Amino acid sequence: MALFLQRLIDGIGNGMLYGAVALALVLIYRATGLVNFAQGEMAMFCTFVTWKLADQELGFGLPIVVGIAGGVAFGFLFGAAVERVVVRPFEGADHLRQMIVTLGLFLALNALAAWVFTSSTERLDSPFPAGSLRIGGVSVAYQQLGVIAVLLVMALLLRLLFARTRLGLAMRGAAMNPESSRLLGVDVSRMLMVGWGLSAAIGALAGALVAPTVFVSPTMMQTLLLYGFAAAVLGGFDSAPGALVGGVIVGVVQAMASGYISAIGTQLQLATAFVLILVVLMLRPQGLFGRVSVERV
Amino acid sequence: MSAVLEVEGLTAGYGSLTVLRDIGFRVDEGEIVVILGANGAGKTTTLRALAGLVPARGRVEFQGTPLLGRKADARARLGLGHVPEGRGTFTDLTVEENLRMGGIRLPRHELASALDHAYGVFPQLAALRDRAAGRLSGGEQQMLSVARALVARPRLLLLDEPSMGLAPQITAELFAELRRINERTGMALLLVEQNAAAALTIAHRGHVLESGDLVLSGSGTELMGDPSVRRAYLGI
Repeated sequence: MALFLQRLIDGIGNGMLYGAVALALVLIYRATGLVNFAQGEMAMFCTFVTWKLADQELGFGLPIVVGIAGGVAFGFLFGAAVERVVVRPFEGADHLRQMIVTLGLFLALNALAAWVFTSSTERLDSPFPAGSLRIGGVSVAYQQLGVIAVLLVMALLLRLLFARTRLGLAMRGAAMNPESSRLLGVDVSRMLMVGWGLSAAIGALAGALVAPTVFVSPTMMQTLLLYGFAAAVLGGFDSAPGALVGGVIVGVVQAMASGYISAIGTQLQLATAFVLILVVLMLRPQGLFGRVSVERV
Repeated sequence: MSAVLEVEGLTAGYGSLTVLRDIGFRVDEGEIVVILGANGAGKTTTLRALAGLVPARGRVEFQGTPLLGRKADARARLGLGHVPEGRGTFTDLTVEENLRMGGIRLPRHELASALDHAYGVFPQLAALRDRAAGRLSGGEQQMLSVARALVARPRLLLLDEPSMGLAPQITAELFAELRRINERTGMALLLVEQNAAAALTIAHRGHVLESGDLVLSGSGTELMGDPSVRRAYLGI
């Protein structure tokens, strides 16, 4: 039982990270219908910025919390700039071409990170204390608890942004019906920039939170991105809450599968994500929370 | 009377297809102007060109400000409202959120009264305020679309076939309400309609558009009495 709980909490912690990456994907998908393959590499680049700000030897040695805040802020500006400079020229193009652009961005950022920062693997401190909390027979690392708490707060803030503020309403409207939004005076291009900025900032946060476990390197986000895809597909690519719930389910399934099925172990963990994507796409293509749009005419 | 909208030599189309050829007209402060025309005459293109959704050439001044070359959202911010053909509601947003989108540029303290006013004009919408717009009937969505445009308090409202899909009784109520708002607030209206009978009853002035050209202009009563209008648009 203790082992089960242990695995459950590990799964939830990892799953929240997958969910955050999925959320970043979903925000852009909802606004533009575009799957941003460069999402993980954008997060990786921002995590390098965090590392540069915080590293004692090769960076500026700032406190890690300041480094993360800086990385997230950088992420927002970076995401907005990517939309303006790289994505917008292809705004009217078909999705295939836009998708190729994000794949190109993937490769470019990968190379750029190695050139600007380093191609080696670097350590990033955790903002949370080392050690773990023991409740009964279960020990939960403060790192896991911290990740869960920070991402829950992030989800809550996003929820408030979209449900309660004018900016959030304008972003939802612009994503749903750009033409009607323009006719009401909403600058849709600016909303897209803000959306990309938010999405990249979420990715930056996820990157900084996962970095203490997976280390900082140009390839650090690639596995996480695949789990993020699985989470987004599971939750429904157009549902923000679905992304987070999907992430948690993927995390828990992965933890249980590799924990209880010895053949899966650690080597085949990634395959569980793939199998999940396949099963969901076959049984419920719109995902658990995805909407089949209903409209009376 | 000073003009709220002055149009000269407006030419517009899609790609190599020219739909509007060199048309000119004006809408004065507080005036209701209707453009009549058959399907394909260029009515919708006229409004879309004015709103900034279709590229156009010529001269268009809105309250003295040139419009052409400005983006659609910039034109809306100048006080130009547009109720598009096919309603254009935000189907996954609630009725209330749709109306809030209309008031997205209003100062916070004015938004509440603008919403109250919209619900006062269209009481059916008040009962549906938490329902997703996509689940409303066609007529209700048409009302929502008009109400949403009114919340923005435009100086000039462009209306594209507001009677489309509405029962005659509802159409009459909608037009009467538009007339009341026009009289009370001085908001000018430019509407394009196939339902000439309903439109001409509230219009101060009208034009007939045929194959991209304005072929006839006059006051609402003049047009109503014109034999060709009666034959072509009133079925008399």
